[in-house]
Amino acid sequence: MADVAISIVIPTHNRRDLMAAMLRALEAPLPGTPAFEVVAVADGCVDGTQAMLRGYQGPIPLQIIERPGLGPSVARNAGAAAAVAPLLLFLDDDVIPTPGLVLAHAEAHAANPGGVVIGPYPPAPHAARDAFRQMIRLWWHQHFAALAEPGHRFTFRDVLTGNLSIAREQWEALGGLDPQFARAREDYELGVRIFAQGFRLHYAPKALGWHHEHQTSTLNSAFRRAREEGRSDALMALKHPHLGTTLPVVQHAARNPGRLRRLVFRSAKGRPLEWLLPVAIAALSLCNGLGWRQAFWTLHARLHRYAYLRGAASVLGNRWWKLQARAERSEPAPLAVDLADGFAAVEAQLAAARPRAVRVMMRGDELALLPDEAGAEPWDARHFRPALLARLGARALLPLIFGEDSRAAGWADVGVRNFDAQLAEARRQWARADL
Amino acid sequence: MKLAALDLDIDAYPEALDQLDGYDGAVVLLRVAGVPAGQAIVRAPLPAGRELRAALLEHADSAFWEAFLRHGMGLAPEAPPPHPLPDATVAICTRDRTDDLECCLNGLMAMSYQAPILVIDNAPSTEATCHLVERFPGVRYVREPKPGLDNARNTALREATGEIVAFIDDDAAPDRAWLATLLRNFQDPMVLAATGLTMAIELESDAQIAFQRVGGFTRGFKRMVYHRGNCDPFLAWHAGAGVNMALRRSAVALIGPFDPALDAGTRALAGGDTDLFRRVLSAGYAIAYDPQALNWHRHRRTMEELEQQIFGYECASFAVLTKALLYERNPRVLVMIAKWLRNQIPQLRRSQRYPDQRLTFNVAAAQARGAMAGPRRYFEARRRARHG
Repeated sequence: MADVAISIVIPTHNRRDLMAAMLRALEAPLPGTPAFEVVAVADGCVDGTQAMLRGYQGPIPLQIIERPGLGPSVARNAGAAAAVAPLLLFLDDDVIPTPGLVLAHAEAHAANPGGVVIGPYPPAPHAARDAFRQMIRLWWHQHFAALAEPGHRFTFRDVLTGNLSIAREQWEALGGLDPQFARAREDYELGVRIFAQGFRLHYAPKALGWHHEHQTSTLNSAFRRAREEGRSDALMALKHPHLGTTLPVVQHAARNPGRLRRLVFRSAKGRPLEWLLPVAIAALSLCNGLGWRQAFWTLHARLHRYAYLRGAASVLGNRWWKLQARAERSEPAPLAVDLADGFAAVEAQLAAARPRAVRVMMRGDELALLPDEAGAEPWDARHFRPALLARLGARALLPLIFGEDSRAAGWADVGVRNFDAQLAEARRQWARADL
Repeated sequence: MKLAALDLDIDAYPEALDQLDGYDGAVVLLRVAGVPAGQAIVRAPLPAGRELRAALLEHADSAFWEAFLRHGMGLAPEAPPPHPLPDATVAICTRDRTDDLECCLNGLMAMSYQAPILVIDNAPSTEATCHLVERFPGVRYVREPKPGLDNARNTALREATGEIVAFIDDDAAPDRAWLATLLRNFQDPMVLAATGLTMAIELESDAQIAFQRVGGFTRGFKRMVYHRGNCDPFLAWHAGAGVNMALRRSAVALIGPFDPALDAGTRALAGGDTDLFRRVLSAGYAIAYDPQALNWHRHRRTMEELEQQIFGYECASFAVLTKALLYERNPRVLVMIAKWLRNQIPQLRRSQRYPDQRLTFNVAAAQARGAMAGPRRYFEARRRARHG
């Protein structure tokens, strides 16, 4: 197996049929795909996954590793340790690859050696009428749509191990995944270290997999997950204090809640209340079934926050004060650039300096601050124009580009997206023309 | 009153606008670097040269300025990421309108990106359409004897090849880049339908101007992807209209075909497109509205036709509500009707107190009559669609 170029590491837990579908999908890659092996890590499976894997007769070299069910991050580390190839590709067991996925990862690494490559895995298309499914789906779509924007500035939250590849060398330099984060956020935490090490992240839109989340996630599992996320975020805040308020748990800790809220969300004495969560989830499920969307969204947001904070409380106990100090951070000194020099000159400065923060000036006056963001990649040339447009808005940029003398009636409505507001604008246009 | 319908690029406009002679003004589609960006509505006469540009900028809308700003900053126009285009068929559903159809076919032949063309002749009274299509080599002719636009559309979806069917009305003509621009939106697998911008090809009569003034087929000049999270399915008409839309053929299996009891040729008069868009959104899929996918439509010329059209839209809107309430048991219909009443009653009062001098009829009253007629007409159309 010396000529295997890519090891695909797939941790799985009781998803035998999806795992079988996964192997079938990998059997027909696009021509030109380098040779690869699959390292399947059966993590505490009791549904016959191991037997299915052992009985596998197909063309893919398959290694099977059994683990007692300590969670996906430990399983991924074990799979990576057993992998033979110089390039590791991690896939989730509910992410069914398209034929071009493996090739796209290989090509992205060839173009960007030493980088970390993520591919999209939006929910597999299916009709979904209920608010819960549509909400999850929207989150995933917006997430990958943002990554596809040419000027997107990557942060640790963009690092998802469901469809990620990294050279073994970089993986070992990072030390793999931290087993503390056993069931959630192990990927975000890896992302923090990726950017701390100065590795570059690349998005490969052709490395597409279909996420079959509708077969694996339910309302109940979503709240279990929210709890795990709270737990992991609390651990992450303790491990990486510099992340500060980018973590919701630190935002919450910075607030000073009243006694009741402290009891419900934070205190160990509030634990008996957690028994009410299943009742609330049943009510939520009812809203979902009846199509009461507003009620569903409101209740869902509250319960999600509750589950998340109780998860954090299980780590922090009565030590929430530990996070409070982390809410305040010092800003690094920004790089000052002058827009009067032109976009190209500013972008060249950014590409050379890769600053943490940028102060954009216009003939000596401050125009905008592109701030430091904890756990994000430093500013680069390709971020500049989109970030300036997003931060200042079209209305503020128009006089800079065209001059104050060009001010026209149309400037008043730039940025408006609402349908009725656009109709109203057209009506005003007719009125202005006096026809 | 007569207005000119113009198509100008802000950096490649003519020295003077001779086309404006004899017109009271113009509705100008403005392009930035060749790409449709926004509109300006101007009164004649217009100055020449540099001042013409200033006059256009003065009257340009915000969408134009957004695009002009991106251009000025060296950013690409807003568009989905580049991707190979899917296979497609262009379908025209027509009935006894050979002059318009010929214009449409000529426009399709001149497009920068070509796809097979399918003409669905819906219950024709003569052989004229068939003879016309014979003159265009490569255009396929299919006859659908059952009257009703939605029957013809369903036939088009069945007879077409490729993943996508792009629909254009027989009284519309495409921009050169229409098809390619419309098709680029299907890269996102959740997008079951894509729609584009439709401008007026002529504004020669008061009726045509009145229709354009209330919005016409324009759904704004800014790209939007509509889904259940940002658009109520009952307002799915915000996303576009059948005059300029493309559908994934697999949509039929996912959300069902066009309702044969709706749209032109039935008692329900219209609404087949909005009903389908409503079902796309309800099922959690998306509709991409891409105003750079441009075509040009000839609006109804007489006031009588316009009144009938406005009556028809409201009638169809209530036909769809009737369908959702009685056949899909959707209680939200009652909320929609309450909202409609809250808006329509004051409008009726206002329009009676201050009648619109430009029109020969009362829009709000025509809408109210249409709404009242909607449910009964839907029952009749449904019965006829069932039993022939």
